[in-house]
Amino acid sequence: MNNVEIYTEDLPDVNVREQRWPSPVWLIPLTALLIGCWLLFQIWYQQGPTVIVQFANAEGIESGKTEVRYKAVTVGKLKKLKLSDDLKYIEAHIELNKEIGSHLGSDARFWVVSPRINRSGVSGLTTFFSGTYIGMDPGTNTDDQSFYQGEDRPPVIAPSENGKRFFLLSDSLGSMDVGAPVFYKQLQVGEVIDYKLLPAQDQVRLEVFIRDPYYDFVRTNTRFWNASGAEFKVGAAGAEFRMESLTSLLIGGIAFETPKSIAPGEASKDSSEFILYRNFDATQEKQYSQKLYYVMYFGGSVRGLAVGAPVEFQGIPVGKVENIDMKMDAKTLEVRIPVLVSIQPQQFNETLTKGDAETAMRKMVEQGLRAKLDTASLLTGQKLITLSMEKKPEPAQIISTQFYSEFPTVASALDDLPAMATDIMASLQETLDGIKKLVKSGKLDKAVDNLNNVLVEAEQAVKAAKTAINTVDQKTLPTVTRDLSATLQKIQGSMLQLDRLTAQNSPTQYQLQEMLEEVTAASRSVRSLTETLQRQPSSLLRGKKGD
Amino acid sequence: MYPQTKPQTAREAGLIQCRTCAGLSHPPAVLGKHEVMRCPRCGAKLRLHEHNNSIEVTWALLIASALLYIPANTLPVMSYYSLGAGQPDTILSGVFRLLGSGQWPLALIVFAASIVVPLMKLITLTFLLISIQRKSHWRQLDRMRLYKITEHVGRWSMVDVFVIAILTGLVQFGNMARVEANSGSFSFAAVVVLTMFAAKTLDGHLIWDITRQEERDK
Repeated sequence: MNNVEIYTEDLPDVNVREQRWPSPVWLIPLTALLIGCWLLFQIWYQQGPTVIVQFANAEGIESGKTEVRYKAVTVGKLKKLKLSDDLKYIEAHIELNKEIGSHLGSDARFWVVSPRINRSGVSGLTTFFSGTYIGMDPGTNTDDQSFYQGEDRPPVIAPSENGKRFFLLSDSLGSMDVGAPVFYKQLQVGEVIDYKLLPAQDQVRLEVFIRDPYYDFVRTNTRFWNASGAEFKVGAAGAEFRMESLTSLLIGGIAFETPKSIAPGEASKDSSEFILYRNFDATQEKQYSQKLYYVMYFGGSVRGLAVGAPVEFQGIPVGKVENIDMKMDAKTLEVRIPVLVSIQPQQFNETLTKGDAETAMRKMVEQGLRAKLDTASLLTGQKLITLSMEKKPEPAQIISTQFYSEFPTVASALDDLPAMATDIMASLQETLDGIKKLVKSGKLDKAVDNLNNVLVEAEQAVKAAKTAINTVDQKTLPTVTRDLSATLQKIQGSMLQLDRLTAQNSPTQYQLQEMLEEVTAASRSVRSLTETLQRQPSSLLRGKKGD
Repeated sequence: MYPQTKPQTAREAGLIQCRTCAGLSHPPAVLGKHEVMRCPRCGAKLRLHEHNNSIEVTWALLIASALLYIPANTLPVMSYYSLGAGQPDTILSGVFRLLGSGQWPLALIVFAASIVVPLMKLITLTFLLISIQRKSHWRQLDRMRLYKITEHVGRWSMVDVFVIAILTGLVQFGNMARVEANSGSFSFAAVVVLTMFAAKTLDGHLIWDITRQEERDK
């Protein structure tokens, strides 16, 4: 035992050092703590404000799933959907991320984007897969706000590209929508970014955006037209088909062009206003600001005359039918059909002012200018109004009335027909009357008496002649017989010649037969003509029908 | 035959042996709070048996994994996008998603392997550490068994991490289908690894330490 004790005493002491730091193992939980804190900080940092947006309904949006996007970047999520207290709206609680949250202004806008076909076809189509999402625009200021009113359609977001905006005035929106393309020479150069109804003018104002290099093509005299869908037209010039693009067939579109005929105007300024024409044809018409309105009364039916039908002067359209009405005088029960037409006097001369034009029209009417209802197409029965100088017109003038001046009219060729028939009937009647008068006057009876006397005298003359012949017979017969036989011989010779002529193969007979056949054919066609005329007397004027 | 006297240990002789160079030395009678002993021969750290740092290391790892357990379950671990639609999922929302699509056996497996097992490991190790530190005699055999189970079952939680890793690598078809690993999966992997290390560092003998001490003191 002791030696052990002694042995242990030789052993050295333990080195004792001070160690203030705890074991390095504790770095692990420290790191874990740091990581945890960092993650929490990240979550907190990414967490932006929660806003409440009021929508009319929650169609297509789903709490916890629907994303909020700005420029196609997800910037938030719909957390909760709640009905408003009065059950009129839904309140969408949207959690936005920090990034967008710091830019959120009081003029921020929110709207629901559902799948629909529009120009941005691909991004719109993605909603078929990703579902409806909420689009947003953070606005320009940075005043914080937590309650917003949802928009019912995507608002106008100014495209970030360079370009110009123009306003187009149209009578109706048609199939146009925000995003509808604008074409120049079938090249898409812009789009519709907004539309608005102008109640004062009862028109729709479309706002279009034309991209950078193309806006120079919009001149002051450029014409925009609605290129929606396809245009198919059968007119006097044949069938015509016009289509801008397949997209425009689906969603509509606008095209523009600067007419070649006029010298190109200056480049248009930003926000200039233009008229949106109904179709391409409408842009091709010469556009004059001045219009003279006249009322025309045509005797008889105006069937085939439609609103918009042209008014032509020697084949050139100078105006159009604006309205066709019907008016009845309550007392006399006389029905009149006033046709309101507009005439552009500048078609005659571009320098005419409105006052000059009116006096010019008055003078032309005094010289014999009349309106006439004419058939534009026998096939469709469409009618137009022609202005023409009549050779021997009844004197007339433009009658000024309270509203529109009345323009004198003349009946057309077809309208004259009944009058002509009446004339013929009248002269026929006259002839018959004359015959009747003759019969009744007794002159005819006298004539018959005279004729009787003449007959008696003739009978006596014949008897006298008989006796004369009897006396002559006895004296002259022998010589006569001789002469007669000679004559007979001569006749026989002639007959032989005639026989030859009438023989089976004689050329004369053949020619005769030919002639007879011709005559037969002629008589047959005459018969069919008379039959046709009997059935359809009008065919004399209009030609045969129904062949 | 056997020596009559009980052989003396270094401890009984008031000595301490270096585990590195086996040199014996005299420990000081009283050791200050922040003082450590080092072998006078090789300079290695010397520890008395009571001062085994297994408990300290295990605590450190356990706390670290407990801290990471929170982001592992609150942050999304994986996102699956199919045809542009999809969203990040946390472990729990993934379980509910599986349940919603009627795949309850799968949901059960994911729930057990990814939520229950790590949580049970954390609880078990904490319980073992506390019971060791309190020098408890309570059901030492069962606690030993519990420790062995914990040590063996822990690795299976890595299945989740491997699945995410494989899916992220394989399912990359652009917009058709795409799997992405999210930050939660890293926390989760850290939790699993740290608990595995915690189970490893915990010395099972410590459960019996009190028994040995009592035997010695007799």
